[in-house]
Amino acid sequence: MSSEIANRINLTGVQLIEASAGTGKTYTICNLILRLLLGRGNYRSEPLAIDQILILTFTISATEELKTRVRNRILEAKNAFEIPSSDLFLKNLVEASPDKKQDKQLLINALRMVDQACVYTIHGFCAKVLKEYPFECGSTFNQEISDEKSRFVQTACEDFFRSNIFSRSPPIQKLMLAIWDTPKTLENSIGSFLNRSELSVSPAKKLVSEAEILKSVEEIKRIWIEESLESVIADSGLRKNSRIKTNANAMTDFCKSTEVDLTSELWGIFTPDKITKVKKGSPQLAHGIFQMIDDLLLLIENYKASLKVEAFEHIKRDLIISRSSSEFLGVDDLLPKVEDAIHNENLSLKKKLIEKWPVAMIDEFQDTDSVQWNIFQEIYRQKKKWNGPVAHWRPKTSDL
Amino acid sequence: MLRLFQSNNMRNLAVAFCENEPEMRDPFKTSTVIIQSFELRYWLQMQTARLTGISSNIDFQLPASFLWKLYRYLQPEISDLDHSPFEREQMVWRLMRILDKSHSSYQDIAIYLQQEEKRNLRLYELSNELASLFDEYLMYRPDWVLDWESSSRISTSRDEEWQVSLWREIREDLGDKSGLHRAALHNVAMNKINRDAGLPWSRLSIFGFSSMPPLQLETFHRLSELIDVDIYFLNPCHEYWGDIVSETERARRSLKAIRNKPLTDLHEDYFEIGQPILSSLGQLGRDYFELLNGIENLQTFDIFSEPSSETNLGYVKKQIFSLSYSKEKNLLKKDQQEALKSDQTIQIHCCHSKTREVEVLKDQILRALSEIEDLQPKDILVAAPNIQLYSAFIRANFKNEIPFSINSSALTDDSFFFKSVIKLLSLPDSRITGQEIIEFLEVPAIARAQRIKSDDLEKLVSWINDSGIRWEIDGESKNNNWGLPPNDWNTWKFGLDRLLMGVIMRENNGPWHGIQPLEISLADTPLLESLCRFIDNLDKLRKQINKQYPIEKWLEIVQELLEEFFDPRDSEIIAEIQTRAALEGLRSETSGADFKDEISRETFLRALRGKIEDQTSITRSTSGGITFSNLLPMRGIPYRMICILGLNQGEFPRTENVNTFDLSSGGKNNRKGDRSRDKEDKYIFLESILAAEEIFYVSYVGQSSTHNFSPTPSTIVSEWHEYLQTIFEENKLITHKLNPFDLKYFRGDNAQTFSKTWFSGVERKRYATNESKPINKQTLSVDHINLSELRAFFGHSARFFLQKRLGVYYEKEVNAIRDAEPFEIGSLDDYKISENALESLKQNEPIEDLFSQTLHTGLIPSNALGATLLKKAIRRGEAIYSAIANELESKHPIQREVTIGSFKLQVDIQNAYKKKIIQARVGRLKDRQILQDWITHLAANSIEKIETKLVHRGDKHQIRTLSLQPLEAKIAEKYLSVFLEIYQDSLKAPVFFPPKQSRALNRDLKNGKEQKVTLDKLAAEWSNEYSFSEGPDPYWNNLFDVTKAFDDEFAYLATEIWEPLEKTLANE
Repeated sequence: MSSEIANRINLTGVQLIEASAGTGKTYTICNLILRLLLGRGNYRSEPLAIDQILILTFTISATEELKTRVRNRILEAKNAFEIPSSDLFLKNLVEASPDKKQDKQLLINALRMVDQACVYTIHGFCAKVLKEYPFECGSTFNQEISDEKSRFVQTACEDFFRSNIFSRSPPIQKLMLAIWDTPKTLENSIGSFLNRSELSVSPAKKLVSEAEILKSVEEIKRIWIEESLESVIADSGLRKNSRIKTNANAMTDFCKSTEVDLTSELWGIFTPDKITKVKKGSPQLAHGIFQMIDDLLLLIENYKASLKVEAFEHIKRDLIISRSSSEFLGVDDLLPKVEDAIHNENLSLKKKLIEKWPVAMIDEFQDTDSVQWNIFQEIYRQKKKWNGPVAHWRPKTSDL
Repeated sequence: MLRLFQSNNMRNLAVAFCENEPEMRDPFKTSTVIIQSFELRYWLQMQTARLTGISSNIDFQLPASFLWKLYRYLQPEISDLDHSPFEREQMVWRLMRILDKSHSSYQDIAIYLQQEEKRNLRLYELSNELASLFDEYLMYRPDWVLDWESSSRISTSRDEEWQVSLWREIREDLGDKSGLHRAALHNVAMNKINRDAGLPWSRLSIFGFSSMPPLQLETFHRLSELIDVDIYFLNPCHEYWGDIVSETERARRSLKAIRNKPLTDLHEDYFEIGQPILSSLGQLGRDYFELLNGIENLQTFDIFSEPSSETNLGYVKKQIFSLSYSKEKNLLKKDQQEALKSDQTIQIHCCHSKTREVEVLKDQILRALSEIEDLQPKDILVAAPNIQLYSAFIRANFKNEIPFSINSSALTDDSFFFKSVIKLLSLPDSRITGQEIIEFLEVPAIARAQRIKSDDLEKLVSWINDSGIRWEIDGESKNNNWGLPPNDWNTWKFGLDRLLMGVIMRENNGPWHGIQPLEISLADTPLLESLCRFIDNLDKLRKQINKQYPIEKWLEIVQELLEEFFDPRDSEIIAEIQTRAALEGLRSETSGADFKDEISRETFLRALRGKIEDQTSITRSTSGGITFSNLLPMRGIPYRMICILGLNQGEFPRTENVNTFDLSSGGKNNRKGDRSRDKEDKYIFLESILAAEEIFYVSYVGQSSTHNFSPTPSTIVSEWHEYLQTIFEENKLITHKLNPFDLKYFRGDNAQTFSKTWFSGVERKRYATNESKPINKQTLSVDHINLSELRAFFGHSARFFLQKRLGVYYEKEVNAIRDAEPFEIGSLDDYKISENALESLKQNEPIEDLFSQTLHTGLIPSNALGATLLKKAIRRGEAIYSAIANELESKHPIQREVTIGSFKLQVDIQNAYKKKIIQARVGRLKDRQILQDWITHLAANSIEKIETKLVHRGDKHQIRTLSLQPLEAKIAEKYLSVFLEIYQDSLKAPVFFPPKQSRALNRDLKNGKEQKVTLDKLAAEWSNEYSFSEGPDPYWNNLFDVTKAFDDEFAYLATEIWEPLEKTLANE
């Protein structure tokens, strides 16, 4: 990436730098920091102190590396004021300087304070916010923040089994256990969606009732027996080894038994689809029961979807309760907590954060998920201007 | 008269103190000494005793309490008040009462308290923060407070506005006591200290402060007009150093200057940076030094002693002392330089983890003890920003080897007394898992009160596991506390009922009314009774404390709790007394603040915790061993060796949370003499350099034990390292290895470890090889061999060898208590149930009993599905049984001793029937099982000609049967002797013979594959196998180098053993 980029970027609002690996995104970030330190933003000429620039990246080792790179870049820039540099960006920086002595002094200052540079991971940033701004977050002052995951999700999933699945009627219970056999499975399938507040869930409410399904099952069973579907199939001229034929007897037993098994493989065998595949236009097999079975399977699918929604909402509700009632927060709980506080219009957190860091930069932006994006969008969105003409911008870098 | 005694050596100050105090010579006169820390007080007492022969009648006072005494003396109308009503501790409760009532008039606070969840706790915590804030204002901004009161200050911010009106409300609340705060009293005192005051003191000594709030210093200054006041100040430098500043400070000032008046007056070199260590670390002391030097009529007495520059440490001290900064080499002669090469007086260690830091520390301490004559453990101080993080590693490494004591907050101490009190009060947050109950009973004081001995714990753990106890008291509590279905399964009630039923009923006779008895010995009934009572009491307490109560009631509850749950002995008695004292403290604070409101359990808990922490953070006495402690300000006590651990960025200097509404913080509001954690910590480091007499040692975690990345050391360490590098032109940083047994530590140089454990381990070879010496025969006799042993050996020759010969077990602890009830039947339990079913059927027991008994053990999920799964498992057992039922007539066990060559084999085959041995298994047949049954078959056939049937589950749930044909006795004996010989050899050196792989090899060879190819294939596949199948597990992998184990010897054994078997094996 040419050094031009860092000069061309507008230092207001939200900015995105997108480039492939190894083209100098981090290099550009360092150059932008130089501009900010020297007050060469195009919004206001006041130089920023290094601890007024929030720099975020994704792993702890990346923060360490970024700190070193920032420090080295400032050092290079300072030297460029003494010995002409071949680096184009630095050359421009020196040439465009209105006061070389002052600019050099600003860089020396930044070097001396470089250990106070605010380079964090997103989690580190959230932990810092919760610790330093409890009053603005509306949380208690002594929350314990751990490096490990909390058990909240695990417990919520277990409780869903206890209170919901295990108290269902046997057929529904069996159906649910076919979706998630243990709380662990439930946790694995649902875990990654729990913290994503932007997700809206559809269907929002139950489309099918349990009674409707059970009624339909009863109806099918009754018709199968009363109209001796087994013999109808036997006389239908199907091949001997056709699955429809070989399973007809099992289906009769199945319909005679009082047990209702919605997960049985038998249902799927007797659908119009399967029948037309092997025998088109047979008058015996034009029986309405096959369509009924097909309708039932659709009902079950819809019902399963509503069960998943129910589990999702139940667990999410539990999670919100445990996060607000516990004094202990795990790694997973930090982001949602900060997001809540930032979205709460009553709290002054947003304002305080902008005061502290008028500028934020996020490296490796491709790794940002929606919660993280929400947090920064909310803080730095230019809804109303703050304290005069200072604007906020955030370059993002991305690998494609 | 105000006198300043300054020295760079604490011992000089102590000597001067003894000389200056005339009262010392008169035992009936009291000397009053203002001092900040307990440790320094103790040290000064010891020094006085040493220098004068006795230390007595010295009245040590903290500055704040001395000043309160003074105020009371000067204002007789408050002489009966023990504490100021504005004291922080009382103020918390007063504020809480006020804010609860009138928070709506403060917008920000109203928003903060809006949410109902934990409102009471947040109210308390906010009051706590505000109380500290006002306390700081009174100390550091008395003028503001007085201006607020006279309304002469215009509020500059919204925050200030609400704080002013809150302050007025506090004053109104206090009525006629509203003037009794530090700011006002100070003004009164300043007026009243005059010739007519008739002070009760004739002189005061102020010892060892490195900073002091200006307000206090002003008071002492005024006092010095009437009486003698001596200040003893540890001054690192004998030059004037008031105007040197650190680099960061200079940067800030410069940036400010550029912002305010750009382009003009850039006096870059106005502030001297001077001695880099002093300028970067010394700000705190420098501010104090400047304050002192600003006092008129101050008489200064210099009692400096120039440090000797013979060692590196001495050289650094001398540079600080003389405010100089130069490279050492230029000053020294060649021979002196040589002598300094092995200098160990300054050390920096970079390790991989906290554990390693402590291991390295131990080695270095041992080295120092062995090299420095008359160095004692008590001469060594080890400190860390948070020593608590190290206490476990310290105990693990130092216990029983070097005497030591750890001074940290009592909440973390060994006895777990305080922790248990807190945990008991946290019961409503707990789900009462088995693990939590065991943890309670591991605390000696609690176990004693319940009459449970420590050896009983193991039994309790197995009761909890066997009876299926997982969590919660009973179904009702599940429902009330967590909104879950009121199901008793896997609760304490469920398990205890089973145990109680087991006292009077046999397991076979159960279940009775849904309770399946779990038999216990009659002698254990008292233990069971204790357990039941304990659970009962916990339940009662838990229900009682899940409410809001007035503080009086809370105190009562804790007092009862102490009686009921604790029977303290030894050090626990001290802990109990401290707890009661904390309660008393809370009582007097709240009554002083007229606080009678109900508070939530969380609030009470937080207050109690804080109180206990405050009370016990006063360090306990020194023990004569190494002292481990937190890095604390204002000590500067000399030790011969000082070590500081954990100096990483972010951890040191420690960060202090400043509330955003704190008006005194932030840029322009700072004043000289303000408290700052950052400055304090830097000064602690400087004081430690000065206090270290022979060795100054620092360490940090600078390497990661999992990634290729380096955590950053504290900036202080980086600067220290850089400085040392500049002046000595030599790297003082030692980078350590990941493991304590690295060869680096066994070369006899400075890095040599003192650990015997690792030394003996380092030279051992890891794997058994052909060259390894066989183990002597020792105790295991091979003359009499049991058939079952022989079977076990060939099932897993490595495990057998390690367990039987060496006593090494790699199995995970089976007794781990689980936190949650079963949501499915685990595969192992499933298998066991099927096996039990098969066994019951063979014994002609009714299978229904097995069903109902198993159903009520707590191993099965409590829902309808659980019963279905259980039925399925039992049905699998039934299926196998039906396949063998006809064969089971006329049982005739084969029991005899057979002699084969020189061996005597004890044969005992129970599942032998007329003409057949039946080996029935509910699961699939494994190769090792075939091998084992073959051995049994051979043993049986050496006695009589008999067939063996192997009945098991095949694919698709079918029942499969294999059979081993009858053999002539001679042939059987021939084959058997091969096994016996291998077994005999194996007792001397381990044999590599995994059954599955050896069978596969034999099969491949028979199919004409090349031996080399097959062996390579097996070796390659080995690591892809699932463990706990018949492949790699810790037993095989720790005993053999698998890349070499699949050799020709292995191939030979495989053919010799499997070939005859395969010939005899027939499918049915």
